[in-house]
Amino acid sequence: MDISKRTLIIITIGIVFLIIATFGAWFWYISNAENELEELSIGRGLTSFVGGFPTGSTYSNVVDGIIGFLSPGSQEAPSETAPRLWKVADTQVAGIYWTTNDSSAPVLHFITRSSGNIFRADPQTSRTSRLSNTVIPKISEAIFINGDTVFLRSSGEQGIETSLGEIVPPEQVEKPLEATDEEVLAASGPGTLETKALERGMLEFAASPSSDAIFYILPYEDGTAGYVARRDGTEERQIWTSSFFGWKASWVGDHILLVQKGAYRAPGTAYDLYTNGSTQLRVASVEGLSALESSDGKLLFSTAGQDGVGISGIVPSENIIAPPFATLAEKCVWSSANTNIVYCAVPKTLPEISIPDAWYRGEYHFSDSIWRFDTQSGSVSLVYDPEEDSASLDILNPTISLNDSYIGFIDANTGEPWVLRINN
Amino acid sequence: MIYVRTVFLMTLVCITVFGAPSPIIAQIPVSVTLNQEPRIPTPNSNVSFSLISGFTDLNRATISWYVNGSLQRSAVGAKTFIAQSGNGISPRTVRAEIVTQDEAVIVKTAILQPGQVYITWEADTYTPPFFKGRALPTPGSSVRLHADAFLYTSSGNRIPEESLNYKWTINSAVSSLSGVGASDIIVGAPSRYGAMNVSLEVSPNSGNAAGKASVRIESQEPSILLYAHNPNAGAQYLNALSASDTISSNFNTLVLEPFYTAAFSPTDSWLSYTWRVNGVESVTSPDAPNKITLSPTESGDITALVSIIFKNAFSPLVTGEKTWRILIEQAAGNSLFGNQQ
Repeated sequence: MDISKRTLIIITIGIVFLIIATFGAWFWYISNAENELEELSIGRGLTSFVGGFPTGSTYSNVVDGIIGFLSPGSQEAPSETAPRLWKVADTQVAGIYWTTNDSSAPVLHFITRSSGNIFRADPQTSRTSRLSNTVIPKISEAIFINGDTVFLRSSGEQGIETSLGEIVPPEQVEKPLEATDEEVLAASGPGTLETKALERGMLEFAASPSSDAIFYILPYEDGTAGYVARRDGTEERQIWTSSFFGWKASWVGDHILLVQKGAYRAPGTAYDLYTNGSTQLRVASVEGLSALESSDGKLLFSTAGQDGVGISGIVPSENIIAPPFATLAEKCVWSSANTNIVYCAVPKTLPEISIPDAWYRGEYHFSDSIWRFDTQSGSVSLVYDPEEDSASLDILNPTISLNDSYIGFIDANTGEPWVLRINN
Repeated sequence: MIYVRTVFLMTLVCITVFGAPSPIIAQIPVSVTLNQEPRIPTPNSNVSFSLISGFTDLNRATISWYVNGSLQRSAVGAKTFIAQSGNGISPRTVRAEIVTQDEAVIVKTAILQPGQVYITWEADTYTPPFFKGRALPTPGSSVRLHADAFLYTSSGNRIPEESLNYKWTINSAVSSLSGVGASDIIVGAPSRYGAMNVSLEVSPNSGNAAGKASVRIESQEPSILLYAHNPNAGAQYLNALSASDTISSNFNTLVLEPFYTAAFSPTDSWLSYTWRVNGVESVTSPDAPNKITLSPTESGDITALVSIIFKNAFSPLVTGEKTWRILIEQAAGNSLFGNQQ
């Protein structure tokens, strides 16, 4: 058959049109499918619970907010060592924790207050990776015991809620030999945070980092009682009672340090509480008491009273010199490499108001510099002044990495996490 | 018989009149008193001893002082002496030997076993969950007192606290809450602008150990503080809003925390809150009367004058009234929204 040239052209145009139409239809179909998925996510209601915490219809705003908070140097940016003072994220955090990556280098895990998502920040690459994407809002306090296990605490309608959270990684892709943790995470995506609700109403909480044990304080009769249990809340055992409600607890080695909540000019007491119920008085009648215990049992404590604010001493005191800093003990951290060394955030000025009360209430903020003190030689040295980087920081919850490479902390001005490199 | 009776009576008279020798020589009046100051010393402190006598001239007597049998001082007229109290775990015996001009020897002894007693306290007043500071006393509230007492037997064993006598004195009046094992008591807080002086003496039923402590507790005014609040992040307790402050429209709910008020929760029925925004009284949720949401009806940054009158029905004298000027900055991407309670 003899097909005319005109006919051929018409057929060709028709085929081209058909191809374009097909691709156009396919593109339209894919776009619609994505929108449906997003609507489903946004539409999640408050009736869905994950381990005792409500997850809600805040997905879009929360996720957008989180993506927005990652500081320059996040996983999308090229790898480069973080600056000496590194603001890790532009979001409030409920807890921070130093761990190590597969190269045994320090990395900081943190959990955001508004979403409960857990992230890893690597100061050697300036990269931040999301480890979990389970949304759990309004976390007031988070206590990590390792990089993947964290206790979450918040205040709800029925009182204080505490949950055990564990990161469940996603089904991981096969890891190439040369791949780093971050690259694997990027390929696998974040995991989920599975939570298990513990008993309600825990006024204070501490977790052992080295054993499967937790300690908590509950109202009891006309006062309170302290309990130990396994991490999952089972095998609860009462070991201590008190007529007071105001205690701070932290787990140190094989015991719990109990410090009476401090107030300006009010005498306070600190005890070591052992899991068999025995107690050892460490200090008593210390005005405005704040205390910090080292892994080898040295208790650094400070006073806030008529004679001012400052480190009062260290017990036991034989052959030990207390740092001469006008600061609160809770602004200090013992070295992870040498238990005779302590690093302290020291306010440059102290106000003529009731400290620590006004600080605790958020009415006042310090501007700190960081100092190092050797409790054996008495030598003192300035580690860092944030003014070098035009910053003013009020250091909260300082925590130190392996080999004293970094100090991580929360800036009380904003609630945001920071990392300071203190040793190369 | 009469002879026998007479002899008997005569003998009786003789015995009565010329009886046993009068103990005049042995019965020398030796009223010497050993004074100790302080009466209940603290551990590792100085204790002053002094001898007093109305009959013996101590200025001419040779007086020797011993501590645990070891001579410390000996001199004519050495009527005073200072000793260290010791750590309280092991008792210390202080002995004064007085040899008078008449060579009479008088011994006076005291045992030092100071106890360590510490008093701490906290008030039954409201503080928000996770607040790191202590609950302070305000008028109308109560104060919990606790004592830790470290007293030891003469053999160095610690005496169980539940067996000790606790004598609490509040503003110079012995409390009826004193007694055996009374290491924890609850008393009313001082009145407004007032203070109370608390002292405690602790002693066992027997033995020489004793300890004391004292503390002064001043009443405070409640701290009425305002914080921005967000449904996801919660209340921003790190930053109490100042009298003139700025918040993001993402944190447009304000929560009032009445620190140290005599209550269990800010929603207790005896607490009342009267809110005014730009002079207009605002209604809050009955479930959360201490929270208010600012709902701008215009776009752009808005300034709101927020005032609160806070009352505690159980403490009419304790009221709080404060005003804040709040600038609400529109967060990026936010649009107008209606009234949300």
